[in-house]
Amino acid sequence: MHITTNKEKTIRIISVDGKIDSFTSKDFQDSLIKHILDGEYDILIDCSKLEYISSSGIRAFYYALRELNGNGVIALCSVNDDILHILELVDFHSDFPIFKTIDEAMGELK
Amino acid sequence: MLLTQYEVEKVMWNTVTASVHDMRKLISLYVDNEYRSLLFHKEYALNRYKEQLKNVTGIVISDIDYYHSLYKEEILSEKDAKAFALESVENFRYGNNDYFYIYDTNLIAISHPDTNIRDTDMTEYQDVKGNYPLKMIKEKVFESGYGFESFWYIRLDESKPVEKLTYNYYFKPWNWIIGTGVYIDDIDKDIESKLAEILGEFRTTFSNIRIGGNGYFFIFNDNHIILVHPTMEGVDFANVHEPGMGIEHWEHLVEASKNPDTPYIYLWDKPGYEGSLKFKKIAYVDFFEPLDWYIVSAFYIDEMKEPSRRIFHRELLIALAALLLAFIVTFFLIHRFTKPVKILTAHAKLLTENNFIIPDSIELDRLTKSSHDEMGHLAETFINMERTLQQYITDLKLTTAANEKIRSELRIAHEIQMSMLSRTFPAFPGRDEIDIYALLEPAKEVGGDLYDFFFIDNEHLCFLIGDVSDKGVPAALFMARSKSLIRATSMLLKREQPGIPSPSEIISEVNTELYRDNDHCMFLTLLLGILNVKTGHLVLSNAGHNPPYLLLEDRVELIKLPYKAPLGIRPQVQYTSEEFIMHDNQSIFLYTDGITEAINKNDKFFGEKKLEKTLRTQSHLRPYAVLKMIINEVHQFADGTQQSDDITMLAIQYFGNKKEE
Repeated sequence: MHITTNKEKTIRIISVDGKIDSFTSKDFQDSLIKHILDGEYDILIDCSKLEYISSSGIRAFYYALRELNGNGVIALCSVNDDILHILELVDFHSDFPIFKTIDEAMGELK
Repeated sequence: MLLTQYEVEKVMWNTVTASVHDMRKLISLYVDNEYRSLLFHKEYALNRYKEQLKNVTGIVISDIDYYHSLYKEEILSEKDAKAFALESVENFRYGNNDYFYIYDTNLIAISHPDTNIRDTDMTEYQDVKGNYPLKMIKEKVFESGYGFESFWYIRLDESKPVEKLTYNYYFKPWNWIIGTGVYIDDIDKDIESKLAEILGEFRTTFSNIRIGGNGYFFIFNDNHIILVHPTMEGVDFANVHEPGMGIEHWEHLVEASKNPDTPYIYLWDKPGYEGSLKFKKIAYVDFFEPLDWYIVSAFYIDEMKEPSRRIFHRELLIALAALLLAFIVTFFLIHRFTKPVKILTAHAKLLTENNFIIPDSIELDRLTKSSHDEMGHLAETFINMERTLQQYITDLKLTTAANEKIRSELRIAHEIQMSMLSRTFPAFPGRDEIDIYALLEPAKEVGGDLYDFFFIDNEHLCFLIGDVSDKGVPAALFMARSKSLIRATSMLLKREQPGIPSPSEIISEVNTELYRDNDHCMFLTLLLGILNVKTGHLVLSNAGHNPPYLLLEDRVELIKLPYKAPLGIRPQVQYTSEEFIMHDNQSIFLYTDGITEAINKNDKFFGEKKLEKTLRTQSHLRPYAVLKMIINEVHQFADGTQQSDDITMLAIQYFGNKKEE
């Protein structure tokens, strides 16, 4: 897994390349928490290069959501169909908005 | 060389004690966790009783209130109103022929089914523990209007006092104290049997954990009875003596528990040498106060030193071989190579005397460069051997420490997980209506999968499969906690309300409990079903788990269920129950994503399509055959690629009332 981040206006965009599984989920979680602690409460995860997410990856999202404590939003965009299928199964979109494209996400989050 | 032995010994010792400390911590966590599930169980049952008492008292009070209002509206005289109210209270019965009593503020019984008590002043009456029930009740209701009080009575034919929980209400207009009570000893009996069950689980788990070679864990209680022990279970510790000691062995251990991190050293026997109390043992004693349990981790000192002794012997052999080699060469070539050989032997001696750690010898280096003959080669070989040895010692020190820790944690996680699963099949011999089979293949790094099945009553089989979001010991503990919560909740809901609880009710209750204190946001995907084995009526509820399959004679159907959040991450979720009918010979197949996400050498998933295809060809087979077929297919697909997650499956075939032949 490789993470690159940039900031557009008030939104922190995190792009994930590879797999978020039990080996990498801790790094992913640390990266999310770091931004939240820095006061960046609106986070968009660009999943266009995300290959796979395991349950420990999903746990990392919920851990960050708890840290956020209602002060912001963690959204996802460009999620491929296989991953979307896994996320739907656990009713993920009730807690994390999922957008089709990064443009749609940026439009909604502003 | 003795120095090396000493150092390796020290590293080994630190490693082992560190790993013992880790194991102690995990076991305390495990015990605490089971205890908390027990407390939850008790609190839940007690609250149900309290609610019942409160509700039924509410009914009686509203009756009295009604007669009081008739008097206020001057429809009845006060005397008549009171008489009607008393009559209605006297005739009121609920539960197990339970009744209400009324006292006035002088604590004289105005209404009581026992004629010996009626019209008597009960102020000085005492229960078996010396409490004054009526005084206490009066104090409570004068202070807050109503409230609960507990007292202790001895029932006929029983020697142990049992607890009676009372609820009392102060009806001010007439200065009446109205109350009722129920015996709640069934809660304690329930808790006792639950505790026995937990002890059973500890026995299986602990009996498989070894410290060093023959070291082990055991538990005894404050009555010095040994609860868990590989060989002395049930023995009274007071009858076990330590040689040459003033006070008894168990008293030493209790004393040692006051300094849990200071080792207590004593002499004991060991397997193969029973009765011969000559082996030095070290024990750490942890006191688990809520249950008055002493948890002892005890191991043998000589076994801890064994590995370093082995290393010492091996080193000695290598060094001797090196010396021997050097001497043979010396004698053989003594005339031509007197000087180089002297250098070499001197170095060999220095090497063995100095723990293999000496600076590179310049003379030896020069020798490898100047002599391009056998002597030079020998010198070179010698230097290589020396470096390899040094590296070997350094590596050994590092890796023994790391490996031991990981191994023991994995083993504990594995033991916790496996001890929680029913693995005896047929699971319900004599039940012809169904056939059930389940299989869990743990990954090397335990994944926290679980399954369970049990009859709620004679007709209703509850079954479930689940997957914890994480790996290792925390996942195994979370899995263990979830499993006991699900069982406890189903049984309690069954007992406390008419009819069979619905899967969604059970899941919702368990979710609320798992959400509490879940700081790490772990979660459990769970699929839970209840099958009426007489009618084939099936109710399913899903919390974020992979949907199951229905296996029909000639095809396979995916059972679609609403998508809901898994357990433990949201405080309140509206789970739903879906109803189905299973016909004769049909099966239901449940699985975890360890199957569909099994990968092969090309990093491809096994996937749902391949699972469906395999199921389709086997849909008419018995559960055992179906599961074996699938696992074979997965193994063939993976072709040796390491399994990264637990693989779990559960299948139930329904035969109706006539068994398939």
